[in-house]
Amino acid sequence: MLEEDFLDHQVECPSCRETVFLIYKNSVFANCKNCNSIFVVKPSRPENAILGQNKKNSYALIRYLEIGQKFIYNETAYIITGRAVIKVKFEGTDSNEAYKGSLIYHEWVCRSKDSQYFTITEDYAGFHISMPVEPDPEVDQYFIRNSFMQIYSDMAPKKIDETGIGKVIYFEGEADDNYYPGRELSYATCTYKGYTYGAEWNPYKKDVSVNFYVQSVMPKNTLHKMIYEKNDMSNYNKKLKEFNFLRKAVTVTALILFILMAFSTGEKGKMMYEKRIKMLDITEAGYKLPTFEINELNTPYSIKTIANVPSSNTEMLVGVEITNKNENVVNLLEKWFWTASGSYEGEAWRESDVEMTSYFKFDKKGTYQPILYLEKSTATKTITDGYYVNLYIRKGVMMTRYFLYTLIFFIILIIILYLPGTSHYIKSWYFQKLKI
Amino acid sequence: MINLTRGIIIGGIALTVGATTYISSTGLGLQGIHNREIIKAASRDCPSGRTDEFGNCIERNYRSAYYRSYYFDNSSYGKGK
Repeated sequence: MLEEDFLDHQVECPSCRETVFLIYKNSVFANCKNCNSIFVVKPSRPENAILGQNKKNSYALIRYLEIGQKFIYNETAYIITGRAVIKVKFEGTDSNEAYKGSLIYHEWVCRSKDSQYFTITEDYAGFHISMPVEPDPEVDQYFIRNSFMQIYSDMAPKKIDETGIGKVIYFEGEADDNYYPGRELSYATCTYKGYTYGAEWNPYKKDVSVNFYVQSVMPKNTLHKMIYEKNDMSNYNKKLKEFNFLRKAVTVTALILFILMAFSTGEKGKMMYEKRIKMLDITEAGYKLPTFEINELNTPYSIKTIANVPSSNTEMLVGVEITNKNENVVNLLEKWFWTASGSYEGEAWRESDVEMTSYFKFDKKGTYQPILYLEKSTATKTITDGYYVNLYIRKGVMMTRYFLYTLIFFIILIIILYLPGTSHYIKSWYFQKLKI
Repeated sequence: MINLTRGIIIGGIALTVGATTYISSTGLGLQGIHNREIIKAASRDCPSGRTDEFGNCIERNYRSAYYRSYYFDNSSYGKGK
């Protein structure tokens, strides 16, 4: 039945002369894929034929809806003939629940062979169906006045719930209403008998024409069933499966990186140098420690200094010089170590920072020697026998930072791949690249 | 084609994880122990041609003087006691 309804007509694009195939011969407006123009199929005057032009060739689909899909709704066969992408700024008018914002939604034009039509609006949350309604002729010709709306003569004027201004940013396919980029439309909605009723008009020509519609939620499952029943979705399903594979692969990679990152934090390498020096032995000229050999360059080394400071309220600068075989300094590490203690509300506390760690690669093989320096602050009490500094050098340390950088990158990827506002762009691009 | 796409994805992921592990265990891009700023400061005013293979000035041992001026005074690098 649907196949018989699907008519195939050709017109010539008035802009580029390319042949444009139409689904319905009575379509009034159409889009040329070749030059992106939106034109009037049978213009009264040729110079007025072109209404506008899309800025880009295509606009990413949110889900599975596409032009040309057929379905049965309320026992009538419809075909999706067009899609408009509309950016709207809205504002709630209820003083108790005021809100405002903006969003981009897709409006799918669905038409039957006998010119019945409605639109499916699709955004990241779901679907709505907007059915046109005819207002009673007896109702005041302005319909909308002083924040109230009336459509039927037996309908008491209803307070407007929401108003907004929309702008078409993209149109493809064909329609009997003029969607073209740059076209603006104003709308207002009210609630009547549990349904949302709306009015839509040209903001610059409100008195000329106002279209009324009633809007209802289209459950996702219902629409999915309607579309899947009458269309071959196997290609789409295969591509979706591959896209989901990509998303899962990225998620699993992030998980692997997280595990490796956790593992690397505990992987401190192999101890190759360990010395303990009494602070009393460190003179003004420093304390020369035994030398160590570096034979392997392609691995990270850690140099860690930990002080043992028994007393509280001390402060000292600990410096470690690394010298080469000529006794020249090739690096210096230093930090103020401190301990502090006291009592707060009867409870004793003690805090300290007596540790420093640095990570390096050695640029050249050879013999190196650490020299330890110490400078205590004037507030620090006398250093005794129990004060000492431990110096550790390890090789083969696994660096965590690189796992962290990559993990952050993959987390950003996951957000982009799963966020409703961005995932459909990636999905659309991926679908285009996939050859099935 | 699907197998190729999946192969590229799995290969890309294996490459990413492998490269990250390699970089992490070799410290690619990690700072060298030879701190150029320190060597430069410690070798200021070195006569030409008197630097060693590490770039240090071999005319003088700046170590102790350098240490004191750099760390415990507010004077500039490399000056004597």
